[in-house]
Amino acid sequence: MGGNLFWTKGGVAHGCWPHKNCQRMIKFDGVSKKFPDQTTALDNINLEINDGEFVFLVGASGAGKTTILRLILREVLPNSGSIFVDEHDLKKISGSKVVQLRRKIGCVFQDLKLLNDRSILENVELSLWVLGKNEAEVRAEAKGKLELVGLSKKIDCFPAQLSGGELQRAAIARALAGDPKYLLADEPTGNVDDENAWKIVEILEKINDNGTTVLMATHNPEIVNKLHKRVVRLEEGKMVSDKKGKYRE
Amino acid sequence: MKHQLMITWQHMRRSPYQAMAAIMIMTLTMFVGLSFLLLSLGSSRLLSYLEQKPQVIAFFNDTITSEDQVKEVINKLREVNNTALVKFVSKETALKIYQERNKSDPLLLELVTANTLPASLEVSAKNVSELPALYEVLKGTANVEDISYQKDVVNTLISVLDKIRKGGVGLLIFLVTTALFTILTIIGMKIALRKDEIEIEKLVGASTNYVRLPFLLEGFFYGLFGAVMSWVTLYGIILLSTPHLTPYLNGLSLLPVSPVFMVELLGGAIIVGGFVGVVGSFAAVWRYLKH
Repeated sequence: MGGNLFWTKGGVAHGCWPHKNCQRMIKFDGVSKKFPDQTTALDNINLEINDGEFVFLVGASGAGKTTILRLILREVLPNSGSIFVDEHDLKKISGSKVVQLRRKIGCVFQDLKLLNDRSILENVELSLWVLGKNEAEVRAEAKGKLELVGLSKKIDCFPAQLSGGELQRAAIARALAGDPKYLLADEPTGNVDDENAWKIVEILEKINDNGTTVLMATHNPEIVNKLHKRVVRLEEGKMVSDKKGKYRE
Repeated sequence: MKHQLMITWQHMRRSPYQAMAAIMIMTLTMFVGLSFLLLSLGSSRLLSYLEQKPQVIAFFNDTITSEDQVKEVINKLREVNNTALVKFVSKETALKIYQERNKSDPLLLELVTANTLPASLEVSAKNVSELPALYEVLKGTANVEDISYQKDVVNTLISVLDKIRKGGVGLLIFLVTTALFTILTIIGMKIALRKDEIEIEKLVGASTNYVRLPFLLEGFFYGLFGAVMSWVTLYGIILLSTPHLTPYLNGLSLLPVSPVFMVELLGGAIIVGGFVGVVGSFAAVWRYLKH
């Protein structure tokens, strides 16, 4: 499906994409992924995500939601098929291009990956230092992102001093640092109460309204149903539906 | 870079015992290295000094009365080796030398007159191997009462210095290897401790160099601190011992050591120490940060 639209050189896609009339930004083309223990995580996934979309990835635990996010971040590689993000063919890009790719992607990890020996501000700053910004820029932007997620009064707190909801928001702030084009959120409402879950969703919607493409893995039907966005359903590694609407239709 | 330096400082501050171990082994290595370097330079100068000194001195008895008799001996020496340096020291000249050397001790000056001291012929050869033939000529000369022959002293010194140099190089190789493995292990442990941080940095788009640089800088600083500490220790020892050693180095200009030379030595030590530190940390980075 669509494989003939691309030709690649040095891991950079040419041909139709990128093109001003061609908005696809993330494309999975017949992607399968098996882990070393032979578990099939994904089976022949074909998926296109356009600029500025908000997409829910839904499905039970082990359906393959996290694997899709890890593949986009090029944390793992597919066994077969191709993945394109912007001009990058993720199977072929070099190490320096991986760095460029990851700087375009903000990620809220399922296990948050916040450093416990750093304050929340320092955790957010981590994403900005790697971009080579100076101290003043890093400090100002990190504070701005923490303000955006409602944590401006907690910047000097350490992760152990924050609630589950606050930790999730801190992780979102770090993912937003550097203004990435894409935001991947892996179960960002998984371990928080309803009130905090809605706060997080509001933040993600706001980010999406500002033009960031959001891909959120969740198994919270209430949130999916309320937002009425595009929903990609996975079951045992297979994509069983892809339509705008509700959690189950 | 400023941020990388700050991270490096944090790495060192947060595990002070490991940092101390690395700095101490680097200090020991650099101290031994610098000591052997100074010893080697000093002994080379000592050897040159001894080689320039008369290697065979023939002391005449009082029966020698005319210059012709001395010239005859010199001519015999020239027949054997025409490149030999020969210098006649008369009784009067010998007295002057004696007086100059002992000018601070009037008692010694009073006891000695020109007649007490023998006239002598000082002979040097360009090569130590030429000395035996010259020695034989002097030995067979009737007016020569005694001969001082330094061949054995020089040869023994060459042999001893050669052994010291070889031993020093061996010890230095052992210590540099130990320092490299120590830094590799310490940086390796730090990489393991910071595994989560490195993983996050990579996932948020850190380049390989960004991740590696603080560890390489850390290795460099271990070498730098080791070089500076060893240099300070060694220079302190030299400065403290200079007044005590100078009287024993009669005429040999080894001490005091030139401050300019010591600054050059510090520069060299920093370069070598920093290089050893960077090589050790690079090995750790290469070993533990491959993926």
